[in-house]
Amino acid sequence: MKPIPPIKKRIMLLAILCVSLIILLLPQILRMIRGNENLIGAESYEAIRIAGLVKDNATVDLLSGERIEFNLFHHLIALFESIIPALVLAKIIPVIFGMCAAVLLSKVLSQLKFSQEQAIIAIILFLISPGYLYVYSTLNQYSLIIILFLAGASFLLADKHYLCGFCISAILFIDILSFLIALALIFIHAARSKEYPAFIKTVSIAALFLAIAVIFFSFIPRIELHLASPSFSTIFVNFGGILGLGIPLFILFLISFAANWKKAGLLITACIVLLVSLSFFESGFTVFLNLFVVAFGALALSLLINRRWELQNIKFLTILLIVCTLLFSSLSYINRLSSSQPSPHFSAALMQVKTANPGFVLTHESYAPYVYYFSQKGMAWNRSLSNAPLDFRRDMHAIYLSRDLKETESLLQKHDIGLIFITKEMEEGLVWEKENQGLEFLLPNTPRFKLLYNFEDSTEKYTVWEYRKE
Amino acid sequence: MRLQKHLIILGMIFLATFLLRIILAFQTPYLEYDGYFNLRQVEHIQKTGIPLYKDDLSYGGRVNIFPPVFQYVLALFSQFSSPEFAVKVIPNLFASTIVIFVYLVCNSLTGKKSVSLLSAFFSGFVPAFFSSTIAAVSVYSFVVPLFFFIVYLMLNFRKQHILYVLFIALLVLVFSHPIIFVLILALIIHLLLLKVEGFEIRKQYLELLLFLTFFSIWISFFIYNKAFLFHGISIIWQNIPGMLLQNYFIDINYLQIIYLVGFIPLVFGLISVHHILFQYKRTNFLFIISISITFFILLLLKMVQLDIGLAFLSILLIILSAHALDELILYVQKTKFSTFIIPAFVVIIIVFLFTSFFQAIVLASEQVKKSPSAEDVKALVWLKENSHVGQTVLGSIDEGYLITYYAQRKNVADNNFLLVKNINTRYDEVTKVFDLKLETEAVRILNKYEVDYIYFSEESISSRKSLPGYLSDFSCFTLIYNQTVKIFNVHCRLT
Repeated sequence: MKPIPPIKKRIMLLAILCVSLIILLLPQILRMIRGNENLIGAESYEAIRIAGLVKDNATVDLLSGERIEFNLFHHLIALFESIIPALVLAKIIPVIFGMCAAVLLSKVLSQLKFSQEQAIIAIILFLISPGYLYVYSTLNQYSLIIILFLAGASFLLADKHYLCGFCISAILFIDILSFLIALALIFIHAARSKEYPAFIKTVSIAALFLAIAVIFFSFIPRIELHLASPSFSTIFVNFGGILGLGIPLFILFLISFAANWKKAGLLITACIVLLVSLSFFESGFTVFLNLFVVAFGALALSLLINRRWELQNIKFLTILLIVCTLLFSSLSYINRLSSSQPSPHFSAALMQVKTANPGFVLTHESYAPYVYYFSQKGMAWNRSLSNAPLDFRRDMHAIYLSRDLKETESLLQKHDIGLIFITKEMEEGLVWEKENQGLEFLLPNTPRFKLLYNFEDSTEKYTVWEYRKE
Repeated sequence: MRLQKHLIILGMIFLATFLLRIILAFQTPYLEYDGYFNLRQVEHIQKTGIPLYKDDLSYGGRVNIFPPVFQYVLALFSQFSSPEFAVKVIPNLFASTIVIFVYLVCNSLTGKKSVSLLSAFFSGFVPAFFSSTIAAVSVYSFVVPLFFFIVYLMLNFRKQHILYVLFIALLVLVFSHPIIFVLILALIIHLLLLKVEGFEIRKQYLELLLFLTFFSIWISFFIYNKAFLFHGISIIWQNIPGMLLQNYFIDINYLQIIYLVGFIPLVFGLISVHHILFQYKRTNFLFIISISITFFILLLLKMVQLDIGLAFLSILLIILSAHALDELILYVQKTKFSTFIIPAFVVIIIVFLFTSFFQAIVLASEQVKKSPSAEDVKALVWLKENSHVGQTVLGSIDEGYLITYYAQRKNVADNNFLLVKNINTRYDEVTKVFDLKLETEAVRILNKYEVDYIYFSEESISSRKSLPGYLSDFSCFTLIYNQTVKIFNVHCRLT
């Protein structure tokens, strides 16, 4: 194939901005066409709610009962919220961040001596990767983390170590785990290029900022790691995961990685293997893994395009298939994103809870951000039950699964539960394995439970029950 | 002249295989239970031009996901005869072509027509394959020969014209069955074997593997996207209920496996494997061994049905045994016993006849007997005329397709588990309802699935000591059909 003629930097920059804008607007536009004006993803609602509390100088989140820790991302949102309405902000900021991330990535790739063709391919792969699409369609802290990381990497490669340190340090005040990953990657670069002073300067800046924060602002960094059971769904979006990798891109990555792992070096290989392993447990790691996957994937695709094939007949077909598979995977994911929760009926059901009697809401913990935002009520438990104290876990299991009315009522009263929100997913495996199991049986058959809201169609079902103590 | 003689013998083997299959298939006018799924699809294609993807009867209403080439091929042939006739003849015709493709593969590997013919003959009567494709209208009757045709093409793909035929064959296979992924896995294992054995890996091979991988993924996205999202990685096990999956290997012992694979293919196949891996070392043979290893792994992980996995394994061992037979001839020719080659081969053929050929026929006859009886069908036709559209009939899971085909009423469950929610619960309830003592629990399950009729086939009745006790409650259950088959009407609800 003929090489692509060099494109001027300005044109390339404009093209990146335009394409990223179109791609990021697609899920929103499709969602609006479907009549759903809600934001995509639970993180978006959590972010604007917390930012609202930060703006009001709250120190404790009364709904979740948790202390509001300093988070640079939430403070930034709070700052913008004073100018732009929260719901508009939640749609604009991810798009702007997404465009910045794309531009920064192109800068980093050119500094890493990627050819223009490889860089273009990498950017396109990045823009259509599920990791990028999800992070920049929701108001997500990773949207800022990636920008800071890419900016830091760019400064590092331009030998501006203190600026690099500044950017990486900022990540520390968003998510400490991401900060550690970023620091590890900086260290790997330093070790490869034998530029240890760069790493030392970065660490120094971070330590300085941390020291200032601890001493003057009582900032205590906490690592919150909730590892789920390993699952292919966690890492691959094609198997149902929300934030993860696409299989076609991952295969390209594997091909390139298998061919280049010796050149990449032991440290990068170890880092990638670790990120891949951890991604099976926690999808947040795929955000960083995605950058490697995209880079290696671009190298693979570029190699396949430029290589002389022995079976010339299938060269064009294979490349066309790769492109079609990548595009199809992305379009399918965009379609899923645009039809993801919360649906209008979901939010309408939770709004009913807002005007109901006081009391905590009992529902699956994954709905917590929606419950807090739409109903503005607290939840009986808002995290994975596996992290709850043993007696609390026992109580929750008993409430969901027991058909003993006396036992259930006493537990509902003990935990001050006044409202129960049930979805189709909860009935079909999320909470109950069988029909009419436990609480599901008691609700329609006990006078103390009053049906406040019921919506059901072929795909969705939402019911809200109120529990009356007397 | 010599070439024609071999083709004539091959033709005779093909005809013999086909005729024997047809004779056995027409021992009964009916199909095996699972065959009615494809028969219904064929009839729907004839009426509307498209397969029945949205099925209102199966599981009370569900979406089917499957690649439709096999059903379209059957529908095409049904234009020239009745669907019931076409679905008996055509799958057996396809299945018989295995002898041709095994001959081609063996000839490609050994270059010897005589051993290739012998292997072709053996492949026609592999017990596992022969018995499972007689009257089942099984997609494997089409897919297995096609798979080995593709193996033949891949052994010779460096020739330009073969490459085009290979593309077409791959296209047909991808739209017939997801077994293409087994081929990809086999190619990867082949790559590893080549690396371990120190062979140079040709670029053409890598290019073909790449093409095949992305081709399969792309097509799979179209066909199985919904299933991937619904089931995740467990789609590999096709959502088969846990209890069923556990029982896959429980009743099988090693003797039965030898019985299903065949004694001669097993012995000579394993001798070949040993010889190829440690002495002979040819890349083409390593490819066949790679495919065998793949199927072996899939069987161990229960990712493929036992009879199908053993069918593939048997045919692969037969192909490999061609090498052992060829080496045997070469060896014996050098010795004083060179005059005993033909008697030796006669002995081998006799042993094969006793250990595999007759077993294949016996197994096939037993399989054909598992088809529904005339009484079963009569009862379901009666039910169709004496019930309303949209009503639900509960039978055993194996009888699910029969109920939807003859009675044209909804079933509670059948053998297609993909995209079915809570399959373990449903399977458990459908199987245990026939053995329950407690009437309320039985009625609860029957109400849950909105069952209007309970169908007891002849086989169902003969396999039980007695019918469930709760059926004697006439206020709830009425015996509306009382012959060797029994049908009860359910007319009570739990309040």
